Amino acid sequence: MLLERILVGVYLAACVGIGIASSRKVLASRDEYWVAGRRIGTTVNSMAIMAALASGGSIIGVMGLAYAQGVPATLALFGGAVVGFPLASILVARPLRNFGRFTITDFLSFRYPHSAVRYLVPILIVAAFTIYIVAQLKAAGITAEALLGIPYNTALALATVVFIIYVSFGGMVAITWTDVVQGFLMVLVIAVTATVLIWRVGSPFEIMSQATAVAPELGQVANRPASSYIGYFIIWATAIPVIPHIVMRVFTAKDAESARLSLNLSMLVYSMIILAAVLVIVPVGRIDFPGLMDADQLFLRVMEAQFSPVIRGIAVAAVLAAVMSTTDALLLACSSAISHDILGRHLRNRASQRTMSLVRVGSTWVIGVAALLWAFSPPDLISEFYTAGVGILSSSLFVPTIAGLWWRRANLVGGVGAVVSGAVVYALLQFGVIDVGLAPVVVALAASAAAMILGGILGPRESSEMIAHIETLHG
Amino acid sequence: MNSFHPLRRGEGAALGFLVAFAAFAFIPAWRTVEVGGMALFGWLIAALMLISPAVALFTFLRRDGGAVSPAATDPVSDTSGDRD
Repeated sequence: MLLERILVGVYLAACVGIGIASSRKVLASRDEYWVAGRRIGTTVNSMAIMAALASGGSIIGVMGLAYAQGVPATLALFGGAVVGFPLASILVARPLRNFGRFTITDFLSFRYPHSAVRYLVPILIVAAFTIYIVAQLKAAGITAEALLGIPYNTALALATVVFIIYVSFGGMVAITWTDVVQGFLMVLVIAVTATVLIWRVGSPFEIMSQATAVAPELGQVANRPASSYIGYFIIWATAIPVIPHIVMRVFTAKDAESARLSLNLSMLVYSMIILAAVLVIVPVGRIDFPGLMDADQLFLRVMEAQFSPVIRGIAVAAVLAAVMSTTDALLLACSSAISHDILGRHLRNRASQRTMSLVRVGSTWVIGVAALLWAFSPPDLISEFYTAGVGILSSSLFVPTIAGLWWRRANLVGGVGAVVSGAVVYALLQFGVIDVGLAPVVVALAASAAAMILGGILGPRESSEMIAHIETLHG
Repeated sequence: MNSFHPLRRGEGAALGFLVAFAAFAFIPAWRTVEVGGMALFGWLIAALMLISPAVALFTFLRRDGGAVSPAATDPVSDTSGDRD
């Protein structure tokens, strides 16, 4: 394991180096810190968006899930995100990029200027993303423990300190460049592994046929209610256009068209990674390792069986890269919710530039350390909490964002009602307070849309200045 | 005045097609029909994962609009000389 540890050590040191190198320029400017000066080109942004979305779950988790529950169910869970990208590209990217601020809260609190929106939205983001970060940290700890032989808590603390350093000091600039490296590593490892397996075994159709001949359950739909598949699919399809760490990348694009193209290209790469993992690597692994007790070990086993230590070392770095590239983006989005959306509003005109820099760096450390402490003893049902976190963001933010950009009748009453009702109805359903037999996100989105429509029709008409301003965002 | 801001040409059709394809893929009957060892439902979702980016990219590339300068349309933006 020495070679693998050295490769991972070099990779982590490079991440810290990028963060420190970026800090001098970045810490002095809000624009540099949150949105990298709005000058990120299409290719770089595409890779960074893909890396931000493709978490540890997209490498380790997707293969484990397909191994345990079959390929169709797994594709349904991950396919929602792919459909979410066209929604983001067509409905959100151009007007939000033209809006030209920093966060989704900036837009919603401009469109619906009410304290319920101003404070509830960042609070929901912090709550949901802290859980999301804990889930990622847990994946990093388990991966490092299994692949590098480092104790869980040590690996967790090391990885967390590394990405807190480069996020807190390097902001979006450091995240962008580390995500590009991390995304490239992910694509390289999955593409090389899938290509080698196709060359050795045959086309994806032949591989699937061989695998399902010995393990028919791999191609069958797992015995779960249809509402669960639909629910997961809808959560991710509606999350992508509004989820803060993706929206912030829209704001980093050099212009609106670049933002749209970046989303389209990143979706293409993301699809290829998921399909290569699920349709090639998993079936081969299912044939070679039929009785794995821990399905999440599948990728490691395939790498051990098929490749040399150098390639395995790169693969370990790729898995950690997947975890870190999502976690760093989540951490920055969380930090922006506190230091920009909540505190920044009050401090901006009173505090010095140095004080604001300290607030930005400090809030990143506070969230990172809090998530680390929680991750030392994470809850067993963390994946359910994390899905609930993303679900509550979809349910509360999707309707008001889309309506605020596209429906001229959308107004303050409808916007506040949509945010609050989406969040409340989702929470009540997800945590079992009420049960209507449908996926919580479906009911919550319907409630949010109903509140928006009722508010828009019955409430006072939106001002002509606001409608004219939104008109300009569409170009 | 229309209650909705208009979508650009082809974008509404692209979204409609993708939503319709997704709805078609989730028809319960496809969960029990097997093709090449896998439920047809799985193949349809896999196809959706390829079609979706292809349609979105095609729609983007055939657009007839140009980029919009943020500075020209952004009265609330404070990006110039943005120092805390």
